[in-house]
Amino acid sequence: MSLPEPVTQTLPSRIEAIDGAEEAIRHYAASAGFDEGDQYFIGLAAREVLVNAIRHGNRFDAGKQVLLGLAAADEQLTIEICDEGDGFQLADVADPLAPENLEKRSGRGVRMAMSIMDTFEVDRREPRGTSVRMTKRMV
Amino acid sequence: MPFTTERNVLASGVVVLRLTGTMTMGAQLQQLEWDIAELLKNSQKRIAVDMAAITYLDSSAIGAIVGASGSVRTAGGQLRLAAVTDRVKTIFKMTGLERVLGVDATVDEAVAKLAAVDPS
Repeated sequence: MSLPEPVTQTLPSRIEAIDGAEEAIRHYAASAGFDEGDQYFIGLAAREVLVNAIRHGNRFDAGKQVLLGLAAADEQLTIEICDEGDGFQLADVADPLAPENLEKRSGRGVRMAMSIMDTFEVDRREPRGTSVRMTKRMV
Repeated sequence: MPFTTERNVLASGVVVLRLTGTMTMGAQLQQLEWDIAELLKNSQKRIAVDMAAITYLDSSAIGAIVGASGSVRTAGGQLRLAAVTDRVKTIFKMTGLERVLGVDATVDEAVAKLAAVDPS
């Protein structure tokens, strides 16, 4: 089976853009050989990072965009999501499984994505913004 | 599939709140909040949430469920989740939701537990 070519897509900073992007990511994962169950959870991980990029990164700023990159190579799928926000450190993300956080209404998205994907890296972009790069192995 | 809710008050006074569709960030999630607020306003504080037809949910939906449960508990009632699909159960485990909420295998099981709770 031939793997899909890398693709990049630019998204507006609107929540309404997420459904279509998630659908595209699931379709890409299917093309790369992931089964339906994997597509479901890969889509969920991407959704969580996209929501963070739009809400916390770009703060719904219509003048800012989110960049989505997809690549399948070396038996793994790579998803990169970049925003133009102030950036965040992984170390600052609270553990939603800590007893004091279990009943909070928010703060679970990043950890959900980390649970689903095999690797999850956060980097600061120049001159501004954050890049989240996550991978899932094809097994 | 859009997110919808449907309420059914049983003879015991326990309410079965059936959720259907996908639960993701957006205005639709407010429906759950409105349902819970209206039930509590009517002193219906024992609520079994039937999750069998929820096919997908994100962290915003988890937050909405945690918020709904907290509102019911603050009002002196109890909310239990029931009939969760395997995939949604996996998401619950990732987020520790099953540690803070009662989750039952079937709606009947949740209803039986709630019927045994003092309704006052």
